[in-house]
Amino acid sequence: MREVRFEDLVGKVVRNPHGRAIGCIEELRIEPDGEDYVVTEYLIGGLEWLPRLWGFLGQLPTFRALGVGQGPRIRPVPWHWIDLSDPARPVLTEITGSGGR
Amino acid sequence: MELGRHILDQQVIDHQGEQMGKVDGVTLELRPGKPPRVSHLVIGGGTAARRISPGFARWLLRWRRRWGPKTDEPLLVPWSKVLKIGVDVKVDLEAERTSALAWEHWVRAHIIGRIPGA
Amino acid sequence: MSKLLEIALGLVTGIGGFLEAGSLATSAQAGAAFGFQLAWAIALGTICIAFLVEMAGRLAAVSKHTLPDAMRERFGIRFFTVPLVAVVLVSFLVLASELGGVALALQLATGIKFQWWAPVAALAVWLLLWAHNFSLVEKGASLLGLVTLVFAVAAFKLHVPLNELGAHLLPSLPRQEGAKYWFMAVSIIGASVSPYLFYFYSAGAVEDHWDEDYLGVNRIIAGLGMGFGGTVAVAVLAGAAMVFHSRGIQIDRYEQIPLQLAQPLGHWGFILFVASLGIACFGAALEIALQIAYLVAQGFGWKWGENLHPKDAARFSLVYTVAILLAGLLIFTGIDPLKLTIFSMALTALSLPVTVVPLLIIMNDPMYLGENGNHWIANAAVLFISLLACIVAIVAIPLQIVGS
Repeated sequence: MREVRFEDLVGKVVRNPHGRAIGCIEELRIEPDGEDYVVTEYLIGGLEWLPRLWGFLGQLPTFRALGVGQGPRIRPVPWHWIDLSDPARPVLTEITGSGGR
Repeated sequence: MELGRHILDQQVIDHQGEQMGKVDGVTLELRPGKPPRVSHLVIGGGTAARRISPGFARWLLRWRRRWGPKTDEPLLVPWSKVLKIGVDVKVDLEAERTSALAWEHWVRAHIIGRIPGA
Repeated sequence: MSKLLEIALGLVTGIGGFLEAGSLATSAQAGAAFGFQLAWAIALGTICIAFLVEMAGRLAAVSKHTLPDAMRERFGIRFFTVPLVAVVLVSFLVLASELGGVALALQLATGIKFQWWAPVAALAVWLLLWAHNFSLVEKGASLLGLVTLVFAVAAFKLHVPLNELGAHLLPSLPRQEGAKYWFMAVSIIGASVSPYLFYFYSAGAVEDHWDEDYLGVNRIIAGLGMGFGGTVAVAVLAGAAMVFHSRGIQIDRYEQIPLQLAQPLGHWGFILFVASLGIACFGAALEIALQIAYLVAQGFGWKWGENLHPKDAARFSLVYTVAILLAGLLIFTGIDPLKLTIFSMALTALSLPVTVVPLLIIMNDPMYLGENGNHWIANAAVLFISLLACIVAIVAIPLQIVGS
């Protein structure tokens, strides 16, 4: 049984199979599955710091009204698209089944 | 539900409502061919310090070893023990019987308890 | 407790508790140096703190979270350490300033130098918290704190020209000594918008199990309580203007300030000054020490409570014990209490955005406030005042250090 810490996953850069950085893990969505809760989606955010800063400031309605805060898009990615064979280096693949080996 | 938003850093209380600490970490079990499963909540033991910075956690560990309770391991609460997630995270445990309050007991025994009137 | 009683108590606490070392020192200094001109800074600071206190109460009533608890949850431990460290450091300096105020009051009463009173003051504050019946202490301190109304009486007896004072509730530019003017403006705002006020208020609201029925009570206490409290600070400024500014006297020692009460009220003025300084600073010291402990305990999920036996909230009690001990030591070193107070207030203003922005984000998050989130006016006013205070502080503080 392999375990990984959620707080270690957050902020990790997700790359595609060719090694190109795509985004970083911001959040995990979980849903009940019988007795357990399982991860259904990874929320992947942008890499640039400036859009992230605007996104942060955009949490304030005052700044939003001033036009700031069109933050980076956060994209939900189904769980089976992320390969966590190496939890320090998540890989975005679209091959089903690689939840970790 | 989202792990970061709804669970991580939430207040943990025991089945009688006693404060046990914060959810400092969450462990996920990786299963081949299946989605990762939330396995434990992690409380204490330097987990929060590690999130601030691993260097800081190492420095803090030296002090935790010199002072404080002998058992300073993080408390792992199995997900099955979680009763309710709302304003707090309520777990089916008794705070006093877990290591969550190890430091509280140590401070009580070695410092606060020694001052008259406590 | 009935709502009306709550309001009455809240108002008494707001009025009696508003004036402390910071407000007293900054308002008196500003009145002596610039007459009525800086009254607008008190008004601006009071508006800001009234909004913030109301927000802290609303957060507690609707989400059942205290502010530090909500901040850790919403932003995570890493981000949380920034406001945690900033507020603990600034609050510690303010705590020391309050103990300095108590020690100075005792010096004025007895003639024995304030350094020697520092351990006494610290021990007295600590003992009252250790006795874990703070609800009683708080009510007592608030009622006694009403003695600070003597400043309003004195201002009345000095025939302060109200229309002239009123005109200066609007901002104006300095005619001379610009750096000093802006430094004082910033210190006044830092004195009014002390984080300990709204952190402490949020803990109290949660301990009293406030819910959504209390939103109206909360608004009244925050608005009227802080409003009346700010009026007392304006009275200090006005009195100082009448007594010192006209004679060109600058205030650089606490020992000078009693004159603004002694002149209109004679010997009783002096006695009431000593009582005001001692009681107001003592009450504030109690609250700030608790607030530092709340911030740490609530941020880390420890057991906390002002009425718990120390051994039932050991880490919480340890925090306030250490805070009081170190603050007392700082005053014992003989550091100038007035200078410490003024600089702590300026630093508070400098650190305002760090404290205020996370609170504002939470207050607009439906997950915590549901439909009771902030009105746009509150958001804009608090954000504007905090950013302004910080930016002016960044310029004014170095200039003041270089100048003195």
